Amino acid sequence: MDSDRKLTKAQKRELRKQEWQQKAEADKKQEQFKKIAIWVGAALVMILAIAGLAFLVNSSPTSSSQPINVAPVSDKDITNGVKDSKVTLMEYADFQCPACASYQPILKQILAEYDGKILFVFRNYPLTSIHKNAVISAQAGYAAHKQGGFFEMAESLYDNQKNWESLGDPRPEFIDYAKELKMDINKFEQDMNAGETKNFVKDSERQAISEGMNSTPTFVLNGVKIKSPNNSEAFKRLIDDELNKE
Amino acid sequence: MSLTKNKFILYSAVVAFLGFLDAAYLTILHLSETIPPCTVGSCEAVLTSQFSTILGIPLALFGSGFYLSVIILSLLIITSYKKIFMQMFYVLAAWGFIFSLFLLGVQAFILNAFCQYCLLSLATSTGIFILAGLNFRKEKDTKNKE
Repeated sequence: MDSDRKLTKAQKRELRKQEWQQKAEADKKQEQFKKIAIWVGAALVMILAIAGLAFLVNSSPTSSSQPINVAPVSDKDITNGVKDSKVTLMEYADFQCPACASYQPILKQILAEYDGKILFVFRNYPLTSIHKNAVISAQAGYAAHKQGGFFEMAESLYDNQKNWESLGDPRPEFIDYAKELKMDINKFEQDMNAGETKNFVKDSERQAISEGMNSTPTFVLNGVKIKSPNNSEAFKRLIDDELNKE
Repeated sequence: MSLTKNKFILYSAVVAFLGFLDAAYLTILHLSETIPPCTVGSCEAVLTSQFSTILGIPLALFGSGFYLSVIILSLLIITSYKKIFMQMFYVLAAWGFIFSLFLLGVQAFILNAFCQYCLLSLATSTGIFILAGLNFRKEKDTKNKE
């Protein structure tokens, strides 16, 4: 080329240097761009992940509403309220389960507010594989039931859950609660350890498992397994819906 | 300064992301105050125990912070390497591993209950620790060669 020939060696060198510098600059820019892309990408992924998790927790369907076949209410059941009422609420619970304990104040409020309007049925589902004192606490509940004080005992058991959950033998603790509730202590102790009581709890556990229960608390409202409501207002709405049904 | 190509650090960031998902899930669960229902083989015993918070701050939040720090340090090492980042990374990896072992001990000997989320966190923090160890060995090797 004509112009090429006119360039001196020094000029050529200068040109090459310029080209090289331009390339280095472009590389540097690209590198910078890559860095920014990495940080922006990482930040986006994190934000998406947190949003996704929050969504997951809020919508967490621990158990969705579905009809379920449970044993009909019988004379053996521990109940509170009016038989043959329009609404029957069943709870499958374990006295050593913290989630069940958290429902205690909600249920107490509901039982008081719907007194005479609904039938509440308590069914034992001791989770023996994770709660070592689940069975014996259920036996204490049944012993109190024999004296007509089941719901008072249930409240004591839930309120003091942290005090007895890890005890080797929680029975003296339970006897103290019975004393506070002014029960017949000898009868309570006898009933708590009776073979009949043990069978009752064992049968309840078997029944719950055969009905397909897998967590506590599980609420069954008029034969439908409901997603456990988060608060008493949500609970009341569900019960009201059932009461208002034609 | 150019990007540092370091597969061990890159893998650490990925593993830390998994750990972060795990810990963040537990943090959100804790903060939303939904007590998980008791399920056969569940971890509610662990998640509601006295060890689930330190001075009122959920332990899972510390875990989330730990994994987030590992991710940020990994990215710093990759995008703008400085020796101090690397050293902080090693300290963090070792600390996370030791703390996870301590929590495993709490589950095994004090609570007698295991939580699958906590065991997953043990796995991810162990993974980060191993990757940090591998990276340390590689660094030492290249130094010796020089």
